[in-house]
Amino acid sequence: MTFELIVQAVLLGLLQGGVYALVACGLTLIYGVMKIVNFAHAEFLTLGMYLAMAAFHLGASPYLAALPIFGAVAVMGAGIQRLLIRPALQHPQINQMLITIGLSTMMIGAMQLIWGPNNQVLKLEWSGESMELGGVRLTYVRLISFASAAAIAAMAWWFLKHTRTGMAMRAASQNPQSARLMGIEVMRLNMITFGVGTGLAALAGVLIAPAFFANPTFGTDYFILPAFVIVVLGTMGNFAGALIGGLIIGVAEGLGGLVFGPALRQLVSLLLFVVVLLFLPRGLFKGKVT
Amino acid sequence: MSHALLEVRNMVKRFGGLTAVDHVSFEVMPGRIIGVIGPNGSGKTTLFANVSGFQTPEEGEIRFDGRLITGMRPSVLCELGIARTFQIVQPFAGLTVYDNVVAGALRGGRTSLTEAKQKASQIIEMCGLRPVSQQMAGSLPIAGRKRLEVARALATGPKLLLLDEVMAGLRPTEVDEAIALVRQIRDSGVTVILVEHLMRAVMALSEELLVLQQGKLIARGDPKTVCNQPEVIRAYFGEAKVPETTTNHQEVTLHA
Amino acid sequence: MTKFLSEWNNWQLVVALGFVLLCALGGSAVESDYVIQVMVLAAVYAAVGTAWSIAGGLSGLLLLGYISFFGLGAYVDGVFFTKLGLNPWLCIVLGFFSAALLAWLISLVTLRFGLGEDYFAMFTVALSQVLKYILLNWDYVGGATGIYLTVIEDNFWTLSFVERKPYLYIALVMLVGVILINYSIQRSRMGYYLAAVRENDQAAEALGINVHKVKTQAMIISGGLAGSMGAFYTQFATFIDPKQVFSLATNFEMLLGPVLGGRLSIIGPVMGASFLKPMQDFLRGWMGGDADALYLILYGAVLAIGILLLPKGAAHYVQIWHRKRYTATNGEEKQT
Repeated sequence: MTFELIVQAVLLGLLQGGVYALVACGLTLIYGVMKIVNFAHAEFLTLGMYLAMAAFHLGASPYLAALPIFGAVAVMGAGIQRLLIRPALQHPQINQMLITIGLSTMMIGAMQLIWGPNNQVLKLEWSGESMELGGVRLTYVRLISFASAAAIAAMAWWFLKHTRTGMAMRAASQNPQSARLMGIEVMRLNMITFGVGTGLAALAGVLIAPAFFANPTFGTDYFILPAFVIVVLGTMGNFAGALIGGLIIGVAEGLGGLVFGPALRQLVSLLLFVVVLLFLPRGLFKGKVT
Repeated sequence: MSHALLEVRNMVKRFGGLTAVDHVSFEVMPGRIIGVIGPNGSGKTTLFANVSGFQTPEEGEIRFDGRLITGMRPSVLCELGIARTFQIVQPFAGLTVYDNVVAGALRGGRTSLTEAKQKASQIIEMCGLRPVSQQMAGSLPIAGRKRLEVARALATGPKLLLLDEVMAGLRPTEVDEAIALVRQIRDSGVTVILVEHLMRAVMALSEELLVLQQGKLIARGDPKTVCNQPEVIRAYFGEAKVPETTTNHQEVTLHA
Repeated sequence: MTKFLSEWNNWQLVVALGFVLLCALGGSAVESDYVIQVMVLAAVYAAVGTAWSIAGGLSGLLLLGYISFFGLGAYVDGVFFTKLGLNPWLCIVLGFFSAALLAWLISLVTLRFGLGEDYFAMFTVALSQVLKYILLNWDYVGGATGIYLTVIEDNFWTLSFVERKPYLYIALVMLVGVILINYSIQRSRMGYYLAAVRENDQAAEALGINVHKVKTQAMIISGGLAGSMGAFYTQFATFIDPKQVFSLATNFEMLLGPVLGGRLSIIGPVMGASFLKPMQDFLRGWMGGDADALYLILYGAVLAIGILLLPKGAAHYVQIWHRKRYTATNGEEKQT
């Protein structure tokens, strides 16, 4: 276990963590405003991957297609919220969560129907290229994903801090009662939040499309656990927490993969989940929501 | 000197920068009805929450029946004999009134189901809930729900019953019934501490009065005497002219 | 008799057991192996659903990742029977205890006083996928290839049959067992505790109910029963792999029965599974081609829409009918 290997694991972990962070941000945003866990979140990531591949096959660069894909998925997400989740608002929480589970199943089925159950690959011309950074090999794809994720996170942060809708989201996360009093139309806000949150997941999917094989259950297989751990670690509903948590989990999994072997990376996240639940249930930010 | 049922020594409870209960000490002798009054935010409900185990004080000791109970969980305290009602009623809305009381009568497992059912019937009778015993608890009006809250707590067979603003929202006739019920409870051997805003009820029931303001215990003793004390009047009416006190405490509800 | 039936739980028990008896009789008359197969699976789902209701319905726990227990039981049987030669009936018992142990551990970590139920939901779902992932990469238990059982001849002792019908009878007996457990819990002290915890766990705590202990007990029973059904499933299916027995899709199929049927009831999970599982399998067969995908879409839609239309499950309406029917004959208010 050389120093170089460790550094590589940490750096790769950070790069992966950037993408995790983006996924987790969407999830935590939805939880903060709507107070439900979106169990279909990983499917939106997978969808983003497939849409990026579709764009590529149509001759466009997946990165250029990122914005329209975000838009399309966000609108779709908002529509889904309006149709499926909003009617269940008065019902017990378990029902709302079960609906997102039903949604997850539907989406997996739909993606399987459209694109088939087998692995798909997005090969850019420079997919295999990498560069050396201080003795460590990093692929361009991963570097760009990280940089893009960081840029998107920064934009989302600005959005939350400086736009009316963003501030409404923060208000609703912190205190649903007062948000209503402030005249914020909660129904519409829920719809928008779900759209934005799922859109962010899809964006993460676009960013990782050139680096991974896509198949209908990809999201659930690889991202559900880390996303949950990150959201809990970063305090549920806390946007900054999701960002920081994402990086932490990314690095932890990277190092874990080094120690336990690549097949057991997820075990590290699971152990972390247990540790967080036992000792830090309210997350790093102790229940404070941004 | 007979043994105090409840002893609170120097209790301090903080929430972040706010001290909700500030070095409060008092004793409650068995078989009495103690009233706790004070303006809003004076720490009354926090006091209850700490005595009943839902919160743990930062400093101080609480002894029940001679035994140190600070920091114990509510279910354990219930077993020891402390029961409480909640300021905002918490019925088991999806269960019938009867089942609600049976759940209490089971006393966390110390009673068999058959015994619990019998006890529940008795308590329901005592609290005047017989006519509605098969109704869903969630469908009762506020007076019924408050009554159920008391019945359910009573079913656990407590030595000490903490009543948190039981009279709030009741009409005058309902208040009379509630006062009679509290007396009945005391007469059956249960010590009662009640937090109340409704002065009529407080004066009618309390044998001893505790007055809280901003977390501090500012007065303690015989109700009439306490209410005439300047600190108490100031707590409620501010620094304005202290009005002529009368012994005629009618339908006065005090809010800060 | 009317007095007995006038209690909702008793009425349900009679209906449920009667239904099982009907299925047994019907099954003995059916000749098609395919139909028997569907019936066995329906019985398994019904049992799993009824077991789930103990934790997810009666206790009100957000137990969304239930398949971990089923899958664990399935693998316990698979591994211990094929690799270690342990008798399958014992494997069923072992499956119960392994799953119960897992349930206990999960409760320890996620069901402590004051911890939100969202964590519990997320943890159980995530855990199921991690277990799948671990088993996929573990060669000793077959990895992605899974575990195969070879059955040459009928042998009751080793729970192996060439014929399909014996499995149906065993499954139905196990279903009856689970129904009886659910029923007796609902009528016992524990039933009251679970109801109290479900309705308002703060108030329950104030009444002397140790909420954490009660939830843990519910989880242990519920998880354990799923484990034994999983063990049985392996013997019946003779082939298991991680993707099958830890599938989130299967997880939610199993929850459809109790959720749409009525998770607080006894008949709900039984009827729900008995209706939905066969419908699902026939649909699948009828759709051909892209069956898997299309049926996933349909199934997800059924779950989502079903929940919107029947938030309390179908049994709720049956209960309303039952109350009207039996309070009419009773007249005076009953105190039971």
